[in-house]
Amino acid sequence: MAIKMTEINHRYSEEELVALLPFYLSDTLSAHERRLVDDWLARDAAAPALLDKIAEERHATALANEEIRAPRGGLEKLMAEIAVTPQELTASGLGARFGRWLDASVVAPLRAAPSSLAWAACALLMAVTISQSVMLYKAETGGQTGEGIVLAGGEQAAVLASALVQFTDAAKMSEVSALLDEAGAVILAGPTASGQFTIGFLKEEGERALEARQKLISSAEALVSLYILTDGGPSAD
Amino acid sequence: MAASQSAESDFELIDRLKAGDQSAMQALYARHHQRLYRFVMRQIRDEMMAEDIVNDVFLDCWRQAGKFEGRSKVSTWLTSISYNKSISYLRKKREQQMGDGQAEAVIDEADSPQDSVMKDDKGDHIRQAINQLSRDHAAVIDLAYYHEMSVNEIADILDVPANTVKTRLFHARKNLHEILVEAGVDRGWP
Repeated sequence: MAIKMTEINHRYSEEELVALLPFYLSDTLSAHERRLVDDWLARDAAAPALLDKIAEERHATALANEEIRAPRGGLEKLMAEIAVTPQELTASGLGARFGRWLDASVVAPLRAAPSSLAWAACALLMAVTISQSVMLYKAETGGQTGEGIVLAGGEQAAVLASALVQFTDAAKMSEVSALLDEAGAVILAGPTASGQFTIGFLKEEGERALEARQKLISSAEALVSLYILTDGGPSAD
Repeated sequence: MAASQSAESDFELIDRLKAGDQSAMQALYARHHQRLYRFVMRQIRDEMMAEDIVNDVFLDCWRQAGKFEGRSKVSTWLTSISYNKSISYLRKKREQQMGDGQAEAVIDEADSPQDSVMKDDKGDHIRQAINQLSRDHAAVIDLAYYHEMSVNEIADILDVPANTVKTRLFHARKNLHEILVEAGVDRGWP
């Protein structure tokens, strides 16, 4: 849509249009402002000379910068420092790390283990979903853990108990995810070559309900074909 | 370096940093180090400190990659950290000099001509005049002209309203004009 000259004059003084010229040259103006400057350059005979002046200044600024040369060797020093500098963990950072661990520890074994194919497709999706629980839990606790279990990815989650489980071939990702959510549990590791996962019951869900939470999973026969308590809490057989 | 790696966007490199991939830092460093060093150097005018500050910027980038939400370009984020560290360094230096009774030394060296010999070439005159701008003016000129940032990006980096960016750039250009007139180069105003 064409912009009326009266509208330009009303909204932008010449001084304001001059102020836009550096950004016009670097092509960082909005489409609207660019049109205003284009119109001004077309109707004001003196305006193109101003643009030339800005271009001169721009060129001189580039020269002033380019005569400065950074010293060499900085990267080696930086990488040495990074090697001993921990990152500040956030939910997204943990998610990325968990994802990387997942790829190496879950996806690759699944691909290499045809016997787990029934679970291969959904395990990845499920674990990604579940990883959100792990990282959010981690973020909420500020990275502080009590008696934690070290994950394969190097992270820790404070859990009350852990168990080895195997899901049935018929189990759907959404069902397993819902079951773990309801039980306040997360996947800590797996699958093993025989398709088993280690799950942990998160401490934040409360100690009193642990037995019931374990029962919830161990009795879900349609989804869970194997349940063995491996660490902590009462047996839920 | 693999071609596919060099084609990675800054956002993709930050994602790799978030995942703890140190090698992504090498690509980010190669892409932004020179530019950031120049920016910091033109602010603080101290080669050793400029190198340390830029090193700190990348260390912060490593430490805090997880906090980067992608609301700005990575280059804007890094430049913003660089600017804040430069300002912080200059402030500490000023306080230290005040404490040492060296108030006179606080006078901004940038306000005095760096190069008294003017060459005939107009472009060279302008370059030398740019080197004589105050730090505030040099920052906005550098960000707009050399780093090719938008008004809003500069506003984010300098932590000022967008209109202040335009006003500051206007005054920086006016100051540049006055320096040039003093040097016998009158290109007219604006």
